[in-house]
Amino acid sequence: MNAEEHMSRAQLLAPELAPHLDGSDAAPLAVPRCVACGTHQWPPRPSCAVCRSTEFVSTPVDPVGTIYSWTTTHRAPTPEFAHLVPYTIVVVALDEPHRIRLLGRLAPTNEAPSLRVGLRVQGTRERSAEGVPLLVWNIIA
Amino acid sequence: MSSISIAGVGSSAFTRASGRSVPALAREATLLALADAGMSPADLGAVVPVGGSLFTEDVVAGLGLRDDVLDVLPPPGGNGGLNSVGAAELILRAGAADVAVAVFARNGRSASRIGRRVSDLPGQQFREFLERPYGWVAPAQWYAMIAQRHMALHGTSTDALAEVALTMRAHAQLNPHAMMFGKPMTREHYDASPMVSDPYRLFDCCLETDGAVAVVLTSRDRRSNPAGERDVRLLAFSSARPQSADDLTNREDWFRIGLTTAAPAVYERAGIGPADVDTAMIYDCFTFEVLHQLEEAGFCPRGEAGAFVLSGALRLGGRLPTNTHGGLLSEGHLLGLSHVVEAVRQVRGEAGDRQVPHARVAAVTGWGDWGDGSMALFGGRGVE
Ligand SMILES: [Zn+2]
Repeated sequence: MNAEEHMSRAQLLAPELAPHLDGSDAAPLAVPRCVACGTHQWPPRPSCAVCRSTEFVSTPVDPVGTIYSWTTTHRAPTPEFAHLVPYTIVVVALDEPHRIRLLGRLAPTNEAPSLRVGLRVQGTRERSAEGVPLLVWNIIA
Repeated sequence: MSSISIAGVGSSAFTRASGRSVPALAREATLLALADAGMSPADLGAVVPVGGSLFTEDVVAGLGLRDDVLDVLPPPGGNGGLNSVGAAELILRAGAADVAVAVFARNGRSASRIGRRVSDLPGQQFREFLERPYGWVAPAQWYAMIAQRHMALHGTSTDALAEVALTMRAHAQLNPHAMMFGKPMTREHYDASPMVSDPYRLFDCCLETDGAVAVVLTSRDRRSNPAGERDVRLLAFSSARPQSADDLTNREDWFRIGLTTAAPAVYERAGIGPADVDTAMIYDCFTFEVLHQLEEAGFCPRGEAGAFVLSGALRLGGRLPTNTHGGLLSEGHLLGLSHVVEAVRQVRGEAGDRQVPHARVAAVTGWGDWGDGSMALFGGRGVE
């Protein structure tokens, strides 16, 4: 699937999500914030988990945080990922807003033996070979 | 019985291109129907989704429903096995039938393997657009993430994971029906099994199985029927889901699962506690999920499941002999309905070489897609 097909599928199946999948390098990383109560929400949903309001504004966030958990996959779950193994997926707790966690791939250059919960990471936006936008995390000092 | 009335109705706009997600549409129609009834989401005790394109989980998040709102058509994840027993109980209690069968059959190894089945679960919008692009698509990978965090927070070791795998395999050696009967496992075998997704090795993962399991439940008075001598009481059942049931990543507490809500409800209904349970059948899709559920079912404090299993607690003769049939890890995987079969055999005293002496109360747990959970307690003769 190329980037364009990916986006049009997202528009159709997950309209709340689609605006956040843009991935154009110029656009900042953004998450929805409830207009009524100010709560940031991820993943995007039709209504706010706190106050049930349905109005959201897209708010830029800084892709810096800590590793909340991780796993390194050695056996490809399906053939389409066979060329990637081994690869590490991380859940990152953002510094701000601190309740938001984002999934992503750890950049392959990061040394696996040093990997642990709590490491600080910085995210960059990249694209898969098919052009699908990805969040890639690098361990920072 | 009081009469049943329709209190409210509602519908979204009917269009050719809504531009809105299925959960958003369901939310709107439900809120309109509730408003028409003069009610709010807090009044809802059950959801009856019309299957095919909508799950109860899609409605729960949008309306902020209780974790244990009754789901009359649960998703086809692992919690569905034990939920079928709960659904049969409801029907029998309502008097709509006096005999019901909970039955599951699947060619889970030869025809419908797990890689294909995950796309039948709720929350596909998150799976497809937020997770699949990173290659996070298989249950082993989802739950490895929870295990890894537990290991970091509580020092849970791979020794504890190995002990679960080795215990289930040892139990299977006493069960001729088990797929792994006659195939004992040593720690060396475990350590040599390939890493799938850290910390899960191949032998931390359950089997894939072709087969079927059925459980007959009845509300008939069987005191004068000789076959009734062996009847096992369903003491209590409850099912619930974690907050944000369709997403793990942003759940406030990763260890709070459906079972966290269901277990206390079941103990209260049955009037007993975890210390009264003689044997447990824990939904063992992966080794860490056993540790996780032991804690949330109250068999040991949170964070201490590693030490609990390393004490030998799960083995025959231990404090809580667990999955005495070999479980999903070593007997076979038919959505955990086989756990009910083993619980029944244990409290009947018909478990043969693997009988837990004087087993009177057995607990069974269910676990499905990202932590939906249920629990049932079964009692043998004289346990009311
Ligand atoms: Zn709000």
